[in-house]
Amino acid sequence: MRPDLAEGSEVGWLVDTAIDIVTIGIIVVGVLSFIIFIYALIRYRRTRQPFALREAPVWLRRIVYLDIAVLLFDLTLLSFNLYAWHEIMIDADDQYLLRKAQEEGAGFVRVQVVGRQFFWAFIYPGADQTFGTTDDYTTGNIMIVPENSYVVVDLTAKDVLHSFFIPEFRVKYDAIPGQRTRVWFKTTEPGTYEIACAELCGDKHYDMRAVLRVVSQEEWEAWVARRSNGVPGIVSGTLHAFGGGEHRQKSFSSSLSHSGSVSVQELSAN
Amino acid sequence: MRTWWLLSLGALVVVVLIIVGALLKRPSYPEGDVVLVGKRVRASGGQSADLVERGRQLYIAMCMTCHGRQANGLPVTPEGLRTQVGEPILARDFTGQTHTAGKVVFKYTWQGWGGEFASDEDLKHVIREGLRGTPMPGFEGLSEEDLDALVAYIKSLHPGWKTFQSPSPPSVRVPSDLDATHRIEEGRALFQQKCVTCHGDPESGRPPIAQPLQWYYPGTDSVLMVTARDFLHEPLRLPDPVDVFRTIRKGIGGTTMNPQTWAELTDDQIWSLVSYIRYLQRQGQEKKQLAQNQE
Ligand code: HEC
Ligand code: HEC
Ligand SMILES: [Cu+2]
Repeated sequence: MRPDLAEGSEVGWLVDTAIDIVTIGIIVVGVLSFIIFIYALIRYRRTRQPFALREAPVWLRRIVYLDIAVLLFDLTLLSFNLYAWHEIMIDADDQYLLRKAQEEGAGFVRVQVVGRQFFWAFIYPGADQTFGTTDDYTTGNIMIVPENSYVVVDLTAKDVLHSFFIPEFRVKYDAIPGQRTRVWFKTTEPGTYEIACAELCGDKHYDMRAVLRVVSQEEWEAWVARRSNGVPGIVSGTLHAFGGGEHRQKSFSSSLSHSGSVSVQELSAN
Repeated sequence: MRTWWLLSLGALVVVVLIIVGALLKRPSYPEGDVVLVGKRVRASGGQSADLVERGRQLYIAMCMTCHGRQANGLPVTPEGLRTQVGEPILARDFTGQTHTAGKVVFKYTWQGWGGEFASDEDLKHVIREGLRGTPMPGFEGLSEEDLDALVAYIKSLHPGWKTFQSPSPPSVRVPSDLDATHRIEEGRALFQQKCVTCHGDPESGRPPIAQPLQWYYPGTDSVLMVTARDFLHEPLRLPDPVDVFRTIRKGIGGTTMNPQTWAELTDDQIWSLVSYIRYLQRQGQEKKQLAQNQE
């Protein structure tokens, strides 16, 4: 069974329709061919027809039309798939998606995804939107993206082939060592989805799962700020936003036990 | 007839030999006296065997590729690990096999310099946050049970954990004027006195100096090296101000950064160093962005 299409997946319907066309087409062609095949088996069995016909009966010759029908079906499929491929892969370069996001007032996020045995690493450019700077951060097995945004994924692998698969968004693309490929999807509402590896990659392949969490815009900004906190100025002054969130506060609340005297003068209220 | 029979018998023998050979050659997890990632592990330190086993499964799935089949830091993937600035780096050895004194030492803990092992909280903090600038990601989506399991597994890898008492971490408050100019100035002066020997002087362009670590490269006797952090160009492993504070106050275990040298500094002065380091990180960031914008 196919999982439900994620709300607002821009191109998911293309994939679904392509699959539907193929499924229905194959059923029609298959059933027709089998009917003819079984009919021929019975009608021209050896006891009834000991010698091969030199010439097919006239009505049978018309079956050529079936070939034409199949050809037409193939052409439909081909043109639809080319259209879908164009929409999903070719037309959609970064600039195009960025422009589209700006026109729609949607967000635009770039994430580098690295497949490894046996987890997914997600590299974020941080608050400055630039990869390779000191506020980059990497998460393992959890991908967080904001709602209503175009998410452009820069995909690669470090060891063997993996395949980046988000069933609900109909995204599936091979992650290839030494090669960078790009896929994208559009989010609408907050939600949680599954990310899987769809290429047998070793004995824990089945465990190579990550979580895709689509969060609200505020949550996203708070998270980016927290994760980029090596570089302040982005969350200027408000130090409560630092400190690694709640769990830090809790875990260090026991009394002071190290030797140095604590002479911190102005303690932040908290 | 007879030739056919002989032929098929020969084919059968070949097939059986291939299967037996494949079974014998099957890649197995290497044996050792402490850890066996591939084997069911025994419980230790009051941890339930199930928890340790769960941790081992998680370890194989998420950590083994870097921390190694024997958990000694030798990566499974042939491609070596590198930091963001391109220095080779190995993941932590959890077994003490490659430590010069056979110890299990961590870098980012309240145990600090000269201490062994680490509290559960420190380990969980690193697993959750990841180490910036190294390939180690932050597994922040892990549930508390999974973190417990991973920690239980790590603690099953060395017998010394059984007697280890983890100290309760101090409570640290970040001063509200952390990024104020007077702090940065004070921090700069202190940095010039205490830190430039290893870290170089980022503002005059003196580079940081490579330092030996307390770990050998697994299987050899060449000691691993690390360059002291270049605060302009390299991210802090844990950029949280509390972590930076702890790193300076307590030093970094397994490295040459011994906090005894600046034991006389008050906590307030340490916070000034923190603000200066944060200032350097900001500077580096701006420079890099400027360079990228010019491209
Ligand atoms: C992509 C590679 C990679 C993966 C995957 C990885 N680590 Fe690490 N880990 C490293 C590296 C590299 C270091 C050493 C960093 C350093 O020495 O500065 C490290 C260090 C550590 C440390 C030591 C921190 C300290 O205070 O010294 C712990 C604990 C740790 N990793 C736990 C884990 C656990 C648990 C997992 C799996 C959930 C994991 N790592 C997965 C690369 C990795
Ligand atoms: C004896 C040499 C030495 C001295 C002196 C020294 N450091 Fe370091 N420091 C190092 C090394 C080596 C590292 C890198 C450790 C690693 O990554 O394994 C480091 C790393 C750091 C880090 C990075 C922590 C992180 O999370 O990435 C900070 C912060 C730091 N030092 C602060 C200081 C300050 C402040 C001083 C002066 C009070 C100082 N150091 C003095 C050797 C030194
Ligand atoms: Cu995989």
